Amino acid sequence: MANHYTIDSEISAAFSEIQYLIQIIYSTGNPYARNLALNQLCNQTTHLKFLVQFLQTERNTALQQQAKPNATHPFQQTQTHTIPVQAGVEKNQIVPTQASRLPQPKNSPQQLYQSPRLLDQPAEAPYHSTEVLYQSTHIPYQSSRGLYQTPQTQFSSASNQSRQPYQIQEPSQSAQINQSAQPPFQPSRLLYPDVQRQRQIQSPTPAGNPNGQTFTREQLTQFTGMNGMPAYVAVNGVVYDVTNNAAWSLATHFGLKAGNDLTGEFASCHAGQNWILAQLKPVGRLV
Amino acid sequence: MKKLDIVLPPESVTNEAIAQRLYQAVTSGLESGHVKRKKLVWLELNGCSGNIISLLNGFQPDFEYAITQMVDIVYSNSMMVEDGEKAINRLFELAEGDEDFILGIEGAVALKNEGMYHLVGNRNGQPVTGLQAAKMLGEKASSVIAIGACAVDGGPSAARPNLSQSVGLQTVLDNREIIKLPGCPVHPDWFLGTLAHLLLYGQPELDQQQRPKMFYSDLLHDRCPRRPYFDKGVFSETLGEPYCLFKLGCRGPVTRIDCPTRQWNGHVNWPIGASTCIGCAQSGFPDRMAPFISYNTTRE
Ligand code: SF4
Ligand code: SF4
Repeated sequence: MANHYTIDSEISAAFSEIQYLIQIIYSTGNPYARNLALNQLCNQTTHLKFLVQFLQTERNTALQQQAKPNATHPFQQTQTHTIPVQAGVEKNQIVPTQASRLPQPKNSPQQLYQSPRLLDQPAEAPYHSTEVLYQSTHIPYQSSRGLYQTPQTQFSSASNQSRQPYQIQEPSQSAQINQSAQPPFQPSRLLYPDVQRQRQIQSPTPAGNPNGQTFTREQLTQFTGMNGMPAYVAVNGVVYDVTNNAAWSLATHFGLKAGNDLTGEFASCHAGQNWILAQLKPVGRLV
Repeated sequence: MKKLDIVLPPESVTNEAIAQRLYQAVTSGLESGHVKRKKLVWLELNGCSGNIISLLNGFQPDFEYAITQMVDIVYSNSMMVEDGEKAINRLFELAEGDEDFILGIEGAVALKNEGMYHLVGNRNGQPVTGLQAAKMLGEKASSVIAIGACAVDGGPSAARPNLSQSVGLQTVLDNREIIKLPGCPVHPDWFLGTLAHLLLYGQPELDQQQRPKMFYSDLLHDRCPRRPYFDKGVFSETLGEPYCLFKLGCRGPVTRIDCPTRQWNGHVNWPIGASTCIGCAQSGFPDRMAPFISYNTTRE
């Protein structure tokens, strides 16, 4: 049923695209940018309409299949159905009025999901088979340190349940996870068990600061965001975790390095922008 | 002209279609005398001449169209026929006369030893420094465009240890409004689009850092085709993988530019198609964007 999830994610991508475009229309004073956004909005709504129509057709077909119990589900039959949109166009003669003719935004997930490398994975492929990628979007993945916690997923799939789960969560959080219906499968791409183990040995957090409460400047310098150490920075006496902060790729930000007290730098570049700090995850205090 | 201001759906918004509409606007503008072909001075200062090479890759409009229809290039040390003193004299003619011209400068201004670390030529046996040329022409030109990272804020020319004490153009032309086009190099569309806007409609709308909003307003990370992987926390471990490149050092989240939708080399591909973004179109490149790649970032 990968197709189902592909369509689901296409629909949510179209919705975020529409929200994004509406924001643009609100915020820009430039008539050209506005026209462009309007135009894209038209494309997106057409695309959305098409996807909804497609889902309806699929449901109708499924109902018919139930009436004939021996037939296989149309979307599990052949490989041609792995690309749902195109297959749909041929099979059900749903013709998107504009979507096929007009340029689609480049970040449309459609392009990624259609890549043969993803879709042609055998079903047992460890974790980036489409099945696993799209199956579990509803269960929130709990990142212990992420800034972007919103759409992350916890991977759990029938074909992978035999695997030993690795935990990245702090003990209290993993207990909470274990209460969920399925045992959590967490693929190594996300978790890096070696790194985790290494960190537990290296990290002063468990020994020196059991709850990550206080850091000396010297302790802080060890949190460089490299070789398994998380990336911490201090601003105004509070230590924040920036390991997964988008603006801190490679634990550096415009030449600044993690593991430092950046109070002065923050004040000089982001004066009056305390909302930035509010988005970060505090992990302790600098003493 | 008025008809152009409204592009209602579902009119095509491909690069080609937009170029076609602009082309028609220019042609009718030239015919009616509404649009004038202006003079352009392209001055190369301390840098690698990468921007003029990149310009050769222009496509709709292409380079030939730019120099034959859009502007009249009166000075460019890479392209002009005159050389030596003759060429330098042309520069001084422009600085001293009252011709109207647009000045495009690529490369940083070397300050060390009163500019002696970068010379643009000789006049009457005396060396002419880049610093002198930038000041002289910068005060005279009707518009100044800083082309590329070096001209905008020093860029690679001013990278540590900055032996020539290079600085961006604004430092030596502190009272002038300069249109800034950071990028290493500048995409031909960013320059030609800005130039076309200047000719057709005057100065384009600029952001706080004086970059044209039409090119420099979207965050690269927001338009990246790998973004769904970032949101799910799926990161590439090596450069060949198709997932998000954040843990390898991608600077997309701090770079505002339209690379994902515009793309390079005739709009066919762009850095994140194969590797990370190194933030070349963001201020502070390259020192403040370093390191570019690392394999031992903490993942979780
Ligand atoms: S590859 Fe870079 S720009 Fe693209 S989503 Fe990842 S971090 Fe953002
Ligand atoms: S993707 Fe990044 S490094 Fe590459 S050209 Fe665009 S801004 Fe520069």
